[in-house]
Amino acid sequence: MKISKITLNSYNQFKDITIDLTYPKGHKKQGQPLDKVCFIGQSGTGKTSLLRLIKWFVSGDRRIDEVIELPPLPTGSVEMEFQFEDLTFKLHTNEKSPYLRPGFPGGDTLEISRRLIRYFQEISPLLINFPTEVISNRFFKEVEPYKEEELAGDSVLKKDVHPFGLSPQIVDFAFHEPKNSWEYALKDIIDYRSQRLKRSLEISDLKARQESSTGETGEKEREYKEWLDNHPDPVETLAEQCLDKILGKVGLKVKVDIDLPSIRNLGYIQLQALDGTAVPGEFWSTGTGHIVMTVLPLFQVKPRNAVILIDEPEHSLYPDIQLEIVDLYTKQTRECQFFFATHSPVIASVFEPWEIVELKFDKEHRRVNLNRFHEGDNDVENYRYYPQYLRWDSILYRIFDLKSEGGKKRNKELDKLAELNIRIRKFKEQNRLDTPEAQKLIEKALKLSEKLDWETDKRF
Amino acid sequence: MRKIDKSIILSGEYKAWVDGLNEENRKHPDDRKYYDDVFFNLLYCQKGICAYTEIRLCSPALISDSKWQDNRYVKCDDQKSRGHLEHFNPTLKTEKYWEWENLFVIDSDINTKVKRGRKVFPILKPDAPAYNPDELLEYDHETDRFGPNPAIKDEKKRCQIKYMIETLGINADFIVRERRKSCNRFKKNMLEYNREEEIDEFYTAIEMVRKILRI
Repeated sequence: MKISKITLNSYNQFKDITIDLTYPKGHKKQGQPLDKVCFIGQSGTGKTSLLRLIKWFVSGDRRIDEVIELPPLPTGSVEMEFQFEDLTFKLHTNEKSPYLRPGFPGGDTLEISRRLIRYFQEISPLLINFPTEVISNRFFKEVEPYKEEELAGDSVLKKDVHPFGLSPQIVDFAFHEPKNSWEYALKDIIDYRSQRLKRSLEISDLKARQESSTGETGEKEREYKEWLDNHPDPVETLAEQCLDKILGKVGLKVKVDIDLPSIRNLGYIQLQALDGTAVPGEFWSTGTGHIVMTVLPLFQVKPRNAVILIDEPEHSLYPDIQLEIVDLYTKQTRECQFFFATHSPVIASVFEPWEIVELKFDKEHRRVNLNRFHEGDNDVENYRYYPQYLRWDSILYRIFDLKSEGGKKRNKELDKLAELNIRIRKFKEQNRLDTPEAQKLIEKALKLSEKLDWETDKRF
Repeated sequence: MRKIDKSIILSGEYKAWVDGLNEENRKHPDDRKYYDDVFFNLLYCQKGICAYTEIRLCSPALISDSKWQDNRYVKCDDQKSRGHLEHFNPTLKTEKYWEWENLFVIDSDINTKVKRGRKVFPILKPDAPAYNPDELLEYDHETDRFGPNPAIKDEKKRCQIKYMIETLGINADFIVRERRKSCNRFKKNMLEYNREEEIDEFYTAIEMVRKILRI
């Protein structure tokens, strides 16, 4: 299921705005909903509000409000159009009634409703939300550690690590209730470690009590080894296939050979420096935490057909990692639709122009208007700038509307360089370039050019 | 930046109105009924470009002769200009808001982010009778910025020119960027492709480049 259109007739600072979220004419996916969308715009233009609105519309089924804390109901008039398989349907709310109402463009409404219900039941998760504050909800604080007494017997396995029973529809890492979401995202790791812990404890117990024969202990050890051979450690898979490559950029990797009985939290992911030195969670940088806590759930859950919201994917990340993070997120999923909100030109550089939705204040800063990067019809031919082809400074100019190429001091110095160049040219026109006065100006101009990192145009 | 001839009055009704106010020495009222007439008449005189920076503000169709009927401009809502009406000398705004000689149309960002209410010297006023950009300005085609003509020996005058270049946004970053693209395109066309395209903005800079490179 993907969103193909959002109509904001009246919602907060938005009025009579329609956001077409389909591929343009001339694109191989023409008319289909976009796979990923990037909201950009000044602070306060409503990027996060739009993410919340999408979260509300996708998760707004009242049946699930016991599981998640829903965001406040929108009071305005909003409509979202969804597409899945060959069906298009709409959900809308208005000022008189804040409840979502479905709408179908045609066909057998009852049959469509049945298909929709079936579809909604099958999709899991339906939505994953990574708000900016995901970083403050470190999962190792949220997933409860097991207690000393639980080490005995089977109790560690009886611990309820599946709070939903079935998979949840909404995996939300917002500050309200991240615990369940983390437990869901980490369930394979917790399951594996619980099993492994139980089996190793059984063997230890047999050895300690010396109640069994050597043969029985040996049999248990063989079983344990066989189990290990047939059950790859999900943390090793996570490290090899996903996290180590990007963590390597910050000199870290996932610690896979942990001492199981000594860890207090079965879901806890440990990191180490490339030389093997342990890096405890409290020493992770904010950026490292952000990578682990956003990439890890996607890798573990492997969502399909979900709507995924990521606010500020650039959070605390150096530009070289920003450049890869969006691709890393999308690779972990299948047929999902991503919505990002960003202030980063590096993040914006990985999007196609039709995937970018710019929100702009009007002159009075009262309303927000929409800016798309095409002139005329939504046709690939009508897009002038492609963020993926632009330099960083061009992205700042063309996509983020920044008006200056540097700070005020740079401008002043550039004016000085222009004056020097003009004066040098006058000397040249008079064939007096070899005079001490001209040479002094040339020295000054060259020195200033260096300071400004100015590239002289050699062609002309 | 280049000299602007504002003697062509297409909005006769406005001109009669403002002349009447001036004859009676009355304060100009806060009345926008002639706004479009003034705005588009100025753009017509400016050939659709910003009076200070020469960046293009509208398509030629928006200021074609057919747009005027009975001394009034006929506005079409689906065609827009990204210019703002600007008072060269902001101190005249209170009493003589609609004074033709003090008005220009300029790039909206130059108006709101650069010039605003800054004090002015008349030295670079584009419609002043004695104004001659070739005498006052020089162009550096490496940085694509204007500077005062070094041939001017009067230091005070050169300082005033520098101040006005800054005040009018002539070297504003976003203008320089667009100007660089136009100048480089012109140079490439002339020097590498041996052809000349019609120029529709940044006339002064391109003319100066033409002279510098003797092309």
